[in-house]
Amino acid sequence: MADFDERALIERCRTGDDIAFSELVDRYKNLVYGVVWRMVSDRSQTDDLAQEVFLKVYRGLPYFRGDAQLSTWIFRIVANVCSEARSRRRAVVPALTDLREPGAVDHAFADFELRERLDKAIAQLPDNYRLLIAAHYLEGVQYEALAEALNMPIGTVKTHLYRAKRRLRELLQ
Amino acid sequence: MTCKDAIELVEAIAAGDLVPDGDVRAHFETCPLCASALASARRLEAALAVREAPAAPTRFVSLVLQRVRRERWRAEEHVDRMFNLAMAAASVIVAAGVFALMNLSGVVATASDTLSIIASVRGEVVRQAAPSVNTYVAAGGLLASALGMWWWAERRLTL
Repeated sequence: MADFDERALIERCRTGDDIAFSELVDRYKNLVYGVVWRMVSDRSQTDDLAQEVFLKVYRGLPYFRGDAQLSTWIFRIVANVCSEARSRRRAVVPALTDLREPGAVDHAFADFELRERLDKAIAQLPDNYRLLIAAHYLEGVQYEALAEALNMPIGTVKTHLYRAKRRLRELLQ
Repeated sequence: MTCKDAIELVEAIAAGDLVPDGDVRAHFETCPLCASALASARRLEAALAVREAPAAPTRFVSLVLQRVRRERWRAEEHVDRMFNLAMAAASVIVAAGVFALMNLSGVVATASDTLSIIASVRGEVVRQAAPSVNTYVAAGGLLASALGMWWWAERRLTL
């Protein structure tokens, strides 16, 4: 989305234009929904938290200065909402026992069963790693945007992602 | 280049953030263990890249808007409530001030005489109005119902 359009959309939202806010939600709903889903793995909780994210976006729009991209700012809100939700109730993660199947993993990552195992392995990651994997791979948020949203140097974001992937490989072997 | 050094670079190479050259490249070409780790990291990278993210439900946008409108209505209601409270407080203060002023100027003493006259007249008024009480009650009920329906309709529209 062009920067000019984004600013125009934000300005329209600030004037209380519900249609403009609908456009904003429509544009970013899959980014928000996808990341939240990967963080909590529960349909009803995902619905609730994703809506809460946009409620916070609505409340915060008057104070959004436009220093960062709108998507970066929204992602920061997603990270905060997920963090608050985790502190309220720890996510239930599946057991690790069915992840290990030596020898078969490297040859069939595309297989449905293995995709399920990959999902379960991701669920075993620490929260900060899972958030990075969810955002970077599932929704294509780039290193720079992640660094800005999470207030980290790009090098740290990359290091965390590398460690997360190494941990995933260990879980899958 | 040792295996320990090479393993540290596996994820960066698989992600395309680092292009192996010189010693690094030579090590991955000659060490089967590190080469296998790199191949595994590349498969993981590919698997992560093709994973599908669940799309938001079809009614998601309208659900969000409903929550936003409800929140806006609550905020307006809060402002209204605060305004009403402020008006009530102001009325009490004004009434207290007027009463204090009247008390100081001796008007209250005169008013108590007036009140006893009003009380005697009220008895007469009640006696004369008694036959029409049912009509007044019915009219009052109708007015209260109409006000209630208006309040309910406006509340539904706001939500």
